[in-house]
Amino acid sequence: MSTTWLPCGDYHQNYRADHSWFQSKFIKGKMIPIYSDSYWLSVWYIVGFTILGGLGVQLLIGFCGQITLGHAAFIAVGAYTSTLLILEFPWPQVLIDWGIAYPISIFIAAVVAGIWSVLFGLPSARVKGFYLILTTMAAQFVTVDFVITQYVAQIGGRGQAFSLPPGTIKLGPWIIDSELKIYYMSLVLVIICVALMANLLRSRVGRAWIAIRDNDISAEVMGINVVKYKLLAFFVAGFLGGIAGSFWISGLAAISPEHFPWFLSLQLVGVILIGGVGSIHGTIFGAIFMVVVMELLQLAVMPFADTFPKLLIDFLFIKEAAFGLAICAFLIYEPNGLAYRWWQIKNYFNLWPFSY
Amino acid sequence: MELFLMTLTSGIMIGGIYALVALGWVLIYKCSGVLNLAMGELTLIGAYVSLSFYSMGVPFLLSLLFSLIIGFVLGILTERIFLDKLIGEPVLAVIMVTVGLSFFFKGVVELIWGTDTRVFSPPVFSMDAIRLGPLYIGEVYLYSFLAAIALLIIFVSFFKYTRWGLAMQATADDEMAALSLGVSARFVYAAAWSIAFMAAGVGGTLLGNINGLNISVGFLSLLVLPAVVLGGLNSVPGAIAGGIIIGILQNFSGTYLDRYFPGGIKEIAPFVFMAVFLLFKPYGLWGWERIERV
Repeated sequence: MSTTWLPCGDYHQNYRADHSWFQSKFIKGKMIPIYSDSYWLSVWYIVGFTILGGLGVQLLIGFCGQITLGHAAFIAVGAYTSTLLILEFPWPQVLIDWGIAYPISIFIAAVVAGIWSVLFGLPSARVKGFYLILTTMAAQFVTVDFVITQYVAQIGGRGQAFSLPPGTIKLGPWIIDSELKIYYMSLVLVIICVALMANLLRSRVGRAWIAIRDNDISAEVMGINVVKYKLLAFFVAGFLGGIAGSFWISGLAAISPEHFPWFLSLQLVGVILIGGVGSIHGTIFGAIFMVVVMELLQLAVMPFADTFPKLLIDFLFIKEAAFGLAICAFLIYEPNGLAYRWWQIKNYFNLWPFSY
Repeated sequence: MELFLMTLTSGIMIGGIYALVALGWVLIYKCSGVLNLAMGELTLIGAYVSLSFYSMGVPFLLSLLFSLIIGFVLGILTERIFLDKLIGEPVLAVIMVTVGLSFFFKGVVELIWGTDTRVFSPPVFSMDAIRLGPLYIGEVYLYSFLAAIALLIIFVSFFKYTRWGLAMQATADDEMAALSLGVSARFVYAAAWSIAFMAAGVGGTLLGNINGLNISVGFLSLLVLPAVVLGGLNSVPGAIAGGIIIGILQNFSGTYLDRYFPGGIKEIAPFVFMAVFLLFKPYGLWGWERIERV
């Protein structure tokens, strides 16, 4: 007989069972390719990218309380670092043959993006709230519209876009060239990043972040070095953004600064708002909602395109307006996001038939 | 010297337009404590409405008036539909609703008016520059500078001397306290949004007169943000001063720094300046310093 008492409806007998990923009864990622054709696999690739990008935003906004509207900048830094390393760095032939070049470039890209992010997180030592929003926006415009467009994109004299010849992206023995392989890669990366973040949040660092989010003055009183932990949060968020960026290039034929507009930053914030702020599940739900529901919307609208040809052009705008409305609706009617709804449904079944 | 003076005056004149749009940001912040990220889209809507009337043959001032009226109605509608339900919610939620609104408005604007550049035809302001001593100033710039000054005087006295202005400042300072003193938060928010819509409409119309009107005009009003921050988020004179300083700064960096950093240094310099400036003066030049208590 265990001496630990658990709340009603919670039948797990040890910590491992209580915290296991399976407990959340999440869709098993492995099942998806069986039911998906290559079109849907490419949709799942976008979902994976959105999850990876959203995790960093979730960390900053949801767990450390630092609002960021410039995360696309760090994704861009990651993507460009990785591309440049693959295309320009004189790799020894051995490493290319073994397929280690791309994994190494992912790691370096993540670190570079993290450092870049710390650079723009520095004002967070002094400012917070609205003024911090503005400095993160500055990060977006300075990085993407100036540094990358004017300087980085000119390296090697390719003009604006860096094209990635097929077969360049090689992960170990596999050449990442089909939707299925990209999908599995995204699955692995998402699992690694989610596990990393979930564990980080249980550690001293994560607790410190949550304390700063809830009240930074109290956190400081409790002996937390607020500036250090804020900058650490910016670093980890940038790190995750770098991973997202260097993953994204695996499915693109070419990258250009237009892939990282301010819209992307706002979209990532929208993802965590819809999914639920302060929840890792929420990031995943939000990403799935954002991408898949918009695809479904497209599928629903397309049959009318024969009768109204203008619809094809206008759909992009409808999508944008619908996305904006979705954010507003979620904030007004479900401020805790999809993750809260999920938690309620889970509890309903756990507690059924005695819901007390 | 000639170049220096030219750069300075054109900087001040462009700054006048920035100041107009910056006023919109500051007004909403001052009235409701919300950073309105949909400002760029409000500018677009105001500009497109007056352009539509103008191209139907309505005189310019009358179409500007129509756009003000429509802006007023839209402001009240926006408040009633979206922001009314958020009274008492954390400020972050309200800011994010304005992000959602900005997507929504942008999508709607693109649906209605398309993405092609449109111009006011026939041109409202003559292309010939006005001569002031040794300097030449475009007519549009001069008028928007005057409009900014006029609006500055109107709004400063509005906030200082009228009941409504004081009620709005009270709401921004502490919503709960203002509510308990009998200030109607719904009224204050509705007024704030319609005023912001109207200010943005004036700014957008003048901007549209310079280079024609397309979606990127909305983006331009984001470039105004450094001006707002520089002046302090809740200071009306700060918005004007910030707008003019940023205008000058932008023109100078365009003239003198472009040699060393070719490309878009002109657009980026204000942002870099803002980020560095915030490190030293976190509340801008005249913003309220909030003293935090646990």
